[in-house]
Amino acid sequence: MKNRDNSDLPLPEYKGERDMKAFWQVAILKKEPSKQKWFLPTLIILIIGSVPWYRVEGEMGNVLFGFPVWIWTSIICSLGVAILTAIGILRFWRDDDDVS
Amino acid sequence: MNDGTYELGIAPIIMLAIYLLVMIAIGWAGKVSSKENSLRDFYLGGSSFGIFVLFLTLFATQYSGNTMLGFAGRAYRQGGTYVVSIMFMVLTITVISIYGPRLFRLSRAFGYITPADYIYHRFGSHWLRVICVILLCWGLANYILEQLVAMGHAIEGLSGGRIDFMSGVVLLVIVMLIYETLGGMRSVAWTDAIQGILLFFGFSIILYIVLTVNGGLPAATELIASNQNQSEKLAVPGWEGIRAWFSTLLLLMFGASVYPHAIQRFFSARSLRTLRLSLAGLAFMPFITTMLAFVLGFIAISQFTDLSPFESDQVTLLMLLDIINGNDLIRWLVMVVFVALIAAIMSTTDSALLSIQSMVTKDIYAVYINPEASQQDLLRTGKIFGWVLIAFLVAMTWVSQQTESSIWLLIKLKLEFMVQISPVFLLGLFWQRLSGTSILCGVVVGTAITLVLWVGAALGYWDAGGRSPLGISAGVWGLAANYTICIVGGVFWPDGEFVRG
Repeated sequence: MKNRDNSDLPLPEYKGERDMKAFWQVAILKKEPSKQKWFLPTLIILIIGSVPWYRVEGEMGNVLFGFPVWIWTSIICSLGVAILTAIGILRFWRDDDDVS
Repeated sequence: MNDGTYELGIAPIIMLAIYLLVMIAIGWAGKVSSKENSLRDFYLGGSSFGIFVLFLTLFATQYSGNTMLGFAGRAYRQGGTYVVSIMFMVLTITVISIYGPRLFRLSRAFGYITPADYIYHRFGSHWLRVICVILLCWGLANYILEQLVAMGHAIEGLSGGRIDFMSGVVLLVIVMLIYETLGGMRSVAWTDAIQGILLFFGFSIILYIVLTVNGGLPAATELIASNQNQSEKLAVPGWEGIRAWFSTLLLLMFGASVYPHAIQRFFSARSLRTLRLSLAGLAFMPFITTMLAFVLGFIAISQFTDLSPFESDQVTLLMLLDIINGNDLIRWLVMVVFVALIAAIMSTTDSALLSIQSMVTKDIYAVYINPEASQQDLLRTGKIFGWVLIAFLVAMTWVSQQTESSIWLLIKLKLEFMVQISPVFLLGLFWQRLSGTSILCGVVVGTAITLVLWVGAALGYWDAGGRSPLGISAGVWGLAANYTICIVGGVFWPDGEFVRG
């Protein structure tokens, strides 16, 4: 595939053609976030950790800076997912032709 | 609590008029800058957006009037458990980071204009393309409807009732149609950039209000904890609540990540680098947007009691009106928040409308109705369709005012169906064995199950807080069936192209 990034080449317009060999040649990337072995397990752990299923039902618990701790736990897990996502995008989303 | 009477004079009307004139001027600038009369130029801005415009247009599109109004209202009704909103907004970007790399590369190589270009290219099924376009347009039309309702509330609030609900909706829609028709995606993205900046200001001011007014968050939590009727909103939920929590996460992370107007912004990026930087930044935006809406709704629990679901959707406005009679600085800040709110609503509405226009024109009209149409014909058809659709939706907005409906209900109807598209991207881009027939069966069965369960919940057949069986959303049940059919189909009846190698 020609590198179309940072070039003045006009982009084509899809007209309904179906060359599946070309499709998969383009679609499969050497490096992408989902191919990192730690990416999905870490993501799932953070998602499960954000839900307070392991706490006692009906309890408020300690309050820290205005919120109960279980709410802060969820917020921190969300921050963890944001960091994971940003790392995945910035470090592991690479194109063969990516000049950056 | 404020009784709704306050005097801002004519200043907010002047501020609104200046904002709307700037939007029209930008629309004109977009038209002047257009390079050719083509679908790519009109619907994707010629795929030329750099980091500044791309980030702000993605930001302004993702965060709508619903974030400021609907999310805060939901936090008010639900309490602490609505902290889930922060996670699902982050996860939307995470899911995009999984399928986005492949879709972006394909879009550059083959020149996709709409998500359905990819769908037909990958699966070669006319039925699948049409059904996906219908589901996406259905979702987007509901999305626009929800924004129009928010427009009416916002303009009523900003003008202190001088401009009534429906006049406000019509005024904003006319301005939006003018700039969108003039320059298409280029105008929409440039206005989004201004609207995105206003949104940043708006949320910063809300942060200031949250931290300073009436003792801020700690005082609010103390008040809620001391009130027997409200203290359960601070408590850890039971198993029913936990199931609803996971259900909401699944519905939103898979549903909101396939919004076609967001996908089309990938296609508008000038380069991979600009797209990557924009998406990485967006992953952190929920902490200055969704989280603030959550905190605002949470604090409102301590200040307003017994608001109906309809009233609670306006809790942001009630909070602002409650402090508007403070000093002059606060009054001006509140006016800026109102304009930011209108900007947020307009930026999402115009993007969704443009996306519907592009799909109806490119994927339906140009393929099945008039294959010989020139680019000019297609552009004209898209614009006329957009005007007719928005006129219909404005009429629907008027109807919705006659029957009280919560904004959240409208969002649900949109996402429950739209989420059924997710395997098309999340399986279709990774699994060569998956055939068009399998995915078509999955999407149709998933949608049918969703519809049946949704109607059942609405009629009260399942006694789980208005939700489907076990308190899990109808769309999530449909999605489970959808993925199961796709996986079984892929394993036992692989794609013919894959078998031939």
